[in-house]
Amino acid sequence: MKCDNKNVPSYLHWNNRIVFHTDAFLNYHKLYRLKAQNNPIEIPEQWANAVSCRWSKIIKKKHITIEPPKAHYNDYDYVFLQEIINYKKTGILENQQHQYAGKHVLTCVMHHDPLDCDFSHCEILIRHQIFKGDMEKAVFDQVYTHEQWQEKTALLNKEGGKFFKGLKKAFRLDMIKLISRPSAANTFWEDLRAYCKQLKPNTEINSLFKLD
Amino acid sequence: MYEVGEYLERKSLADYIQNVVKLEAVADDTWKTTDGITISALSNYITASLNINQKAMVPFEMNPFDNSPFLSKIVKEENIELPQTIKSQVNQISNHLKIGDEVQKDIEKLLQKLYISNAEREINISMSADRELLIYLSVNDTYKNILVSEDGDIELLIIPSNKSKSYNKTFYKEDGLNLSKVVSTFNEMR
Repeated sequence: MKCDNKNVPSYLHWNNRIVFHTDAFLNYHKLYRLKAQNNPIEIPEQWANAVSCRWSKIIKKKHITIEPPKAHYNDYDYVFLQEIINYKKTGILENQQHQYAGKHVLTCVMHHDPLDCDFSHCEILIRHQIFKGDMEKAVFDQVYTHEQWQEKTALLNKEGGKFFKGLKKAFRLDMIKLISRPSAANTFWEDLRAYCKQLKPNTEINSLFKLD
Repeated sequence: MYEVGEYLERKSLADYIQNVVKLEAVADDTWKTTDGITISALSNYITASLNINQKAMVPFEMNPFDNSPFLSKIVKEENIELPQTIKSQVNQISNHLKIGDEVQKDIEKLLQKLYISNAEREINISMSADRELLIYLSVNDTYKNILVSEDGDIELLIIPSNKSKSYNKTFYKEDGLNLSKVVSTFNEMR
C-alpha cells in the first residue's frame, strides 16, 4: 500500500514490508509512548487496546513525535524494552470453587503491528497464564489480542469479580508507572546511567497482586 | 476540648471562624460543640450535622457560630446544583457507556460531594479506554482521577507529573459504596 502522508518520512511508511517477529525485540531497544492527552488515563475509546508504542529499532529519535495520520502529539514517554520484558504480576485466586482458581501470572509480549504510515508501531500485549497447585504447565495460557480486549472476550476483561477486576486495574497502573521515563531523559548519558544501574525500572513495581 | 484556632491546622478554616468556640474532637476531621452540634471540616466547607436526620452544608464565607443567622443560612447538601455542563457531559457519556440507573445515581451523588469540596477547581468529565466514566481534577501537575466502571466500581487513580509515583485505590460496588468516604479519601490523596 502506498501512503501519501508527506509529513511522515519515507522510511516510516510500511509499504508492505515484512513484519518483524517477536525475537527482533531486543533488551536495549526503547518503546516510545506518545502523549495524546495530558492526562494519561484519558484515552479515546477507539484507541483502546493493549499498549501502543513506537519502536526504537525502526523510528529515529527526531521523528518520534512526528504526526501520524490520526492525531497531534507534542511529547512522549519511554521505557526500555528490558523493563517490559522483565515485568511480571502474580496474583492468587484462592476461591477453590472458581473455575480459574490458582496462580495467575501476567507478563508482556511484544507484537510488531505496523500501520500504513508507521512501520515502527508495536503493541505491548498481555500474556495471561494460570497455574494450578504445583503444576509447572499452565492450565490457561493466552496472549490477548487488541480485538479480544476491545470485544471483552479476553478472560481478564470479561470475567467479573474483584480478583479479575483488581488484577486488570493493577496491570494498567503498572503500565502507567513503567512507561514513565520522560522524553527529556532520552539522551546518551541517561542511557548510560540506566545501563550502569543494570536497567532497573524507573519505579518500584510490586510483582504481587493482593486484594485489600 | 480545643479552641478552634489552636486545633485546626487548616488555616483558611480558622480564618473564617471568628468566634472562639469550644470544640471536642470526635474524629480526625470532626468536632462537637458544647451545644451538641457536630462539625466536620472538608477543604472548603464546614458540614454541620444538627441532629441525626438533618445534615446541612455551611459555605466557608459564613460564620457558622453566629446565633440566629446560622440556621437561616444553611444550604442543604441535596439542594446544591451541579453546573449544567457537568450534568450534560455525564449524561452523554453514561448513555454511551450504557451505565445503569443505579450507578448513574451514585455518580450524581459523588459529583455533588466532589463539587462541594472542590468548588474552586474545574471538574473535568471524560472517559477512559476501558469504558469507564472519568472524572478528573488537575492539581499542581497531578491528575486526580475518579474512574467509574459500568459495574459501578470506583477507582481513585492519582497520576503525578512523575508518573512512576502513580497509585490507586478501588472501592467495589459489591462491597457497598460509602460515597462520602470515597470523596474524602479522594480529597486526601495527593
